[in-house]
Amino acid sequence: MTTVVLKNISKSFFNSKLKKMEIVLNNISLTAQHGEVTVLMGQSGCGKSTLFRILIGEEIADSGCVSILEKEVFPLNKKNLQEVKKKFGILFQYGALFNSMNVGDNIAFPILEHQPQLHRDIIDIMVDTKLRQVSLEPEKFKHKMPATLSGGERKRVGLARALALDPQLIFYDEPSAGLDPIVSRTIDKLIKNLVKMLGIASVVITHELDSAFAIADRMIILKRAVPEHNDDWDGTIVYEEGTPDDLRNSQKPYTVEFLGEFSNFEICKNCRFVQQKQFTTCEKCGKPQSE
Amino acid sequence: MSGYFKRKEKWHKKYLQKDATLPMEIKVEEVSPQMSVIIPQGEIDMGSSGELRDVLHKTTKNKVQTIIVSLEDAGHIDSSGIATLIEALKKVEAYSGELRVVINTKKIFNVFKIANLDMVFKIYESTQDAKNA
Repeated sequence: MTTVVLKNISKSFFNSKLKKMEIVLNNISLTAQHGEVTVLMGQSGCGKSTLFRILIGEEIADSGCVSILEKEVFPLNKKNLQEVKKKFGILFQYGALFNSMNVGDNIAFPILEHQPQLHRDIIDIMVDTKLRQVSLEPEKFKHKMPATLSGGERKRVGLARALALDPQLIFYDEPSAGLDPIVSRTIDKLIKNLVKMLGIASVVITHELDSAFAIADRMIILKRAVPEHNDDWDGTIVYEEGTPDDLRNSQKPYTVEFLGEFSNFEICKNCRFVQQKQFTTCEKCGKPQSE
Repeated sequence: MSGYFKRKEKWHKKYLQKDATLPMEIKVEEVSPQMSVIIPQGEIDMGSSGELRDVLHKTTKNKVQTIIVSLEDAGHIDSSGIATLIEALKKVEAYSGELRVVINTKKIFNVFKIANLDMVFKIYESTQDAKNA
């Protein structure tokens, strides 16, 4: 089942300095499948965040078509959008927690908004369960205010909130940015587990190469098309799409440049641990790399 | 609970609550005065878990020693359904009773496992196994 379909999306913004419209996305078409982690990558300014905002309904595209969970949400269909919004979760880059509410109320917020008939005791237990899912102790964290949390904890609380309504699809904006390798790997593992065990589709926007290769089932590299002879910007293009192995072995110059040093690494087929090619067995699970 | 949620709850009670709950069929089999089997049929989600909660509340109020919740006919259970079972488990444990859960599909078992609840509940593969345990 195709969870997300973007067809011929274009978006331009008005540049007040140059006093003209500037194209950011030009005719982009992408898909994300159910039960898969789709990773979107690309250099800064290539339009990843604009694409992300269009996907979650925060930005309106100039033209094209967006379908999420088999419902068309753009061209704007408010009824479908409201219905679909209950079925997907979003993890923002810095968690985007409400600073005036404690952790428990932050996680309970979407439940109270969309499922007000649930008893408060049930919501409290749901909040505890969600916190445990992201490896945070409810007794310790439930009553804390967001300002007292570390970056990693904020992100995990943000993920618990994204999971609150049992979504079928989660959008992640830089899930492991600014986190130490241990917490980063915990988040990666969690994303993979959600997909593997519950079949939740995931669309991840990230810059972290090791994290991307560890979680991705399919990767999409976006490239900002550079105009050669004039200053008219013609928008982002989808440069390459494929499995992590396809991209690692790609010969396309931009992919090789973008992935850079990463082409010297390989991923264990058993546990998806990333390590240098020189090793014959996986350092984590011990399986031979040729298997 | 913060002021915002109190106001929100009041508003929802006034305007929305009557239409919000969807019906779900729940069979209750009284094997003996000390053992009841509860069989929810259909999807246990945020719209229907309230009904399961009502049935479990009645059973725990009567202090039935062994309660078996069979999820054999439940196509799906979400976190509100899980929370309902956790609430019932706490009540049952308070009077030293037992709550057994029957799960026969991997899909439902995974919902328990991802929240590390497969170690908290006593899980059986069939209702007969749960009765005999």
